[in-house]
Amino acid sequence: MLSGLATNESIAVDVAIIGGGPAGLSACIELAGKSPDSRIALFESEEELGGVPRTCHLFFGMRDLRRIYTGEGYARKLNDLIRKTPAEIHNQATVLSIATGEKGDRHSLHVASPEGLKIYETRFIVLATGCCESSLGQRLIPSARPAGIFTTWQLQQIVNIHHLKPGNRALVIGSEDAALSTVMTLKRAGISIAGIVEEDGDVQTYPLMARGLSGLYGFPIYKETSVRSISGMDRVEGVELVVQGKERGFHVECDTVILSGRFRPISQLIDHTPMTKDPSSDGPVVDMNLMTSVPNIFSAGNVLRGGDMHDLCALEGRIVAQSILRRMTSSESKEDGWVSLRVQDPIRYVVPQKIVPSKAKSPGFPSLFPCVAIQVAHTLKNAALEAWSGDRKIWESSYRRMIANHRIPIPVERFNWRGIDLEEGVELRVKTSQPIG
Amino acid sequence: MGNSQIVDHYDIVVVGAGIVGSMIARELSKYEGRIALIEKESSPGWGVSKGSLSMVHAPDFCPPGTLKGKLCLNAPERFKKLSQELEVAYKEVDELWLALDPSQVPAIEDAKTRGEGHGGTGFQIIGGDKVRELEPHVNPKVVAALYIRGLGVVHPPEWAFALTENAVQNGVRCHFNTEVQNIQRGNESGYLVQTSKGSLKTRWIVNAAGLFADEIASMVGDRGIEFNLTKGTMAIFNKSVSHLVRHMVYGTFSKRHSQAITPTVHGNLLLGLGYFTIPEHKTDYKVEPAGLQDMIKMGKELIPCLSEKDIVATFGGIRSENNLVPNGDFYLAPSNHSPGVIHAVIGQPGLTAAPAVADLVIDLLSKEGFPLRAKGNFESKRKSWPIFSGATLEAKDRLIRSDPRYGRMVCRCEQVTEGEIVEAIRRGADTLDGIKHLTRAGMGCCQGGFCGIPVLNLLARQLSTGHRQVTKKGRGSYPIRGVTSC
Repeated sequence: MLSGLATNESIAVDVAIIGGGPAGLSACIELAGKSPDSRIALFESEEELGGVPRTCHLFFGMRDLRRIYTGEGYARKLNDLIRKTPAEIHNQATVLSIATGEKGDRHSLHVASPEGLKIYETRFIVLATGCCESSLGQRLIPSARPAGIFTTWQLQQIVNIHHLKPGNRALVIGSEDAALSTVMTLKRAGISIAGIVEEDGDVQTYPLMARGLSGLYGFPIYKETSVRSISGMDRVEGVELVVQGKERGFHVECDTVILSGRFRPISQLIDHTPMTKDPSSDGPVVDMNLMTSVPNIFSAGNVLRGGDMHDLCALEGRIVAQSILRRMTSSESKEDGWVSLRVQDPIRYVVPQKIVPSKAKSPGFPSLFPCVAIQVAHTLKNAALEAWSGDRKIWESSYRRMIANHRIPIPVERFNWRGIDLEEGVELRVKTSQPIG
Repeated sequence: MGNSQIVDHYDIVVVGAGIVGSMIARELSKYEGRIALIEKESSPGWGVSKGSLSMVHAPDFCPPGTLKGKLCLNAPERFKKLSQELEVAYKEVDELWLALDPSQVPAIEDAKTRGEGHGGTGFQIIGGDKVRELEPHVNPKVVAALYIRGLGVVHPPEWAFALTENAVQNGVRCHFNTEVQNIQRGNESGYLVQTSKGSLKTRWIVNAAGLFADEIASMVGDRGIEFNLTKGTMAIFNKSVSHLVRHMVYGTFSKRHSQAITPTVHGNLLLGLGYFTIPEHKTDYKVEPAGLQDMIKMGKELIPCLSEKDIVATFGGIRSENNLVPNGDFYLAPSNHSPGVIHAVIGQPGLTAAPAVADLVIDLLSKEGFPLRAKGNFESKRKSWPIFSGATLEAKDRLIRSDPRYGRMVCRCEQVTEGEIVEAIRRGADTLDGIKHLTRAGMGCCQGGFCGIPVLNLLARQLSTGHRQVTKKGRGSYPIRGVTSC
């Protein structure tokens, strides 16, 4: 297979990190710091490192760097840190495919960059390819696909990198945290805000912040409202909205639509590998060490589940680094007693999906640090979460409010693990799913 | 814009660069003559051609005695040959027309009889077990199916582009973004075709204007053509579920609905069309919410494990039937009033029939006096540009070393490189959708979430215009409206 390639033979490294966003960079910095003799290569598809935070606003770096940065500043800081390490950084280098080693010891990567196509042989892989927002098609919003429909990430590239204005009046669809960032970007660009539309009875972000911005910038938040269609043939001319349960819709005039949130993992690299994909999260199945179902291939950050905070992704990158360091020094540590976790609607996912109950313990502040966690698809109030193994309930807890698409830590150490059926695994369910409103 | 100054003289003007017009122009370019192809959109194959299931069918669902049934015969062979000549993708796919309960069996038996009546061969009725073996994820209730081997799928805008490129190689002049506004009878034998970009003088006219063929016909005095329009809905699925369907799988269909799912030429799944609705106008490609839900439900009836979660894009498509001939047949005939004008008024399945339609149109032109003098130097081959994602590792490496732009990934989902996009722009793609349809940048699971803005940047750079001049699909479809103050 290698004959004919100009490089004729593959390049051997110890660790290959795929993705130069918060998770990949943090894994790389940690690994290179603790194991300076290892040969570490990081591949980033874009020209610049940093990933999504590059184009965003404030409040970056709290959990991992313990300081507040702008998104750009945060990316720059990680960039500075990584340049001080001996790790090889390959920008504009796209991993095309992963070929897993038969015994799980040597894996190979096909990497395209302007220098050519190279094959890397590596013992460890860190998959940190991040996530993207759902498109118009994925949201099943009818339209003639006119110009003027963007995701938040696209809007931020247009405004913050190119200093261009995509329109004059924008409606924001979705009310996750990203929507707050969206309205701030719109305001900064001088684009008037026609409103935020949310299908749920309440916003999927911090209600006070949403209300504050809505009052400050003077835009409505349409709750319990669905998008019926986007009008306009060549350019967006408005959006037809309908309050749930009502027959008659109403028209909101705007020339721009921003699709915000509903993040999905960019996980296609695992599609043609033996790595197990979780149909709920759409990312790889991982254990507590964030190792995938293929030995020595790890994964961190939002490729695991879609949207979570960047600094949490960074901390996951460090967890992966530590897992790899442990495996580098000690021989194969066989752990027994793995239990699989799975979820039922409206829980979107649980990550990690495999734990060893005796070793699972939550960090001191579980809401601040990586741990077993879920997200729900809709904001729920007065709901209870339950864990079931077969026909046995092994845990329950009630919640006054579960904000959709916000991380909810699951205290697995409080589960009643005694006599649990390991084969059966554990399913997490929502009991009283009284929608808010 | 529309001035009356004559900018060019032609022998033949083909109006409409859909798959049929492009095919006609390419086939005509085998003969001596000055030929022009006029299209109001900014790229070929963007009207009805784009919004279809993109299948090369057998004649099994054309009513008996129709011309279109005859024109569908041997279409796969024609497409295969063209695919090699034009280096444009064609994928062989077999068809399974399902009977999900015994009451549906007569329908597939009728289809077999119809297909054979048109002269088709190789139609087979197979039992449920065999169907489940061929298509493991099919609805287990299936009792029988009509099995037809050796059909195919294509991406029509890619084909229309390749056909027009080859036509241009052979001397045809293509005018895009050019709308025909009026046609006047000249003094001598001939016509003055007035367009939004000036006037063309020509002796013969081929009306291949698709849904607008009625308007072109009335410009030459044939006022009788009317269309019955219906609209269907289609959805593209993420490649991660492509293993679920191997065949073109049909369910029931009638004048009011159709139910089909097929692999696409680029390896996705394409589901359509649901219940037809009446479009508001000829360019109403808007997807209807109810239509979308119906279509998904119908898709799940064929392949139960399909999930709307895996849909990456939806779009609408318009079908037309003319009122001049019964059974939704094609109207391929010289004008009643204007000598030298050929109407190529087609409908479903226009894509399949396109090569045979071109033959017939050329035959009609010759009867109208156009001399068929074969060119000695006709070049049947068109070179595509290298497709990075489809190349072997060695070829990828060679490509990058010959041009480093092939090493810069623009669309990660479909692995489309800057090299391909720059080449598509050089060859005439000048809109975001144009790039998408010719290179697949933005057709993957994130639907341009990542590459949308980089492609916009490349267009602005390569066309040496500002970002504000770039359009999504021509006309007023500007994604950028101004500059920020920040």
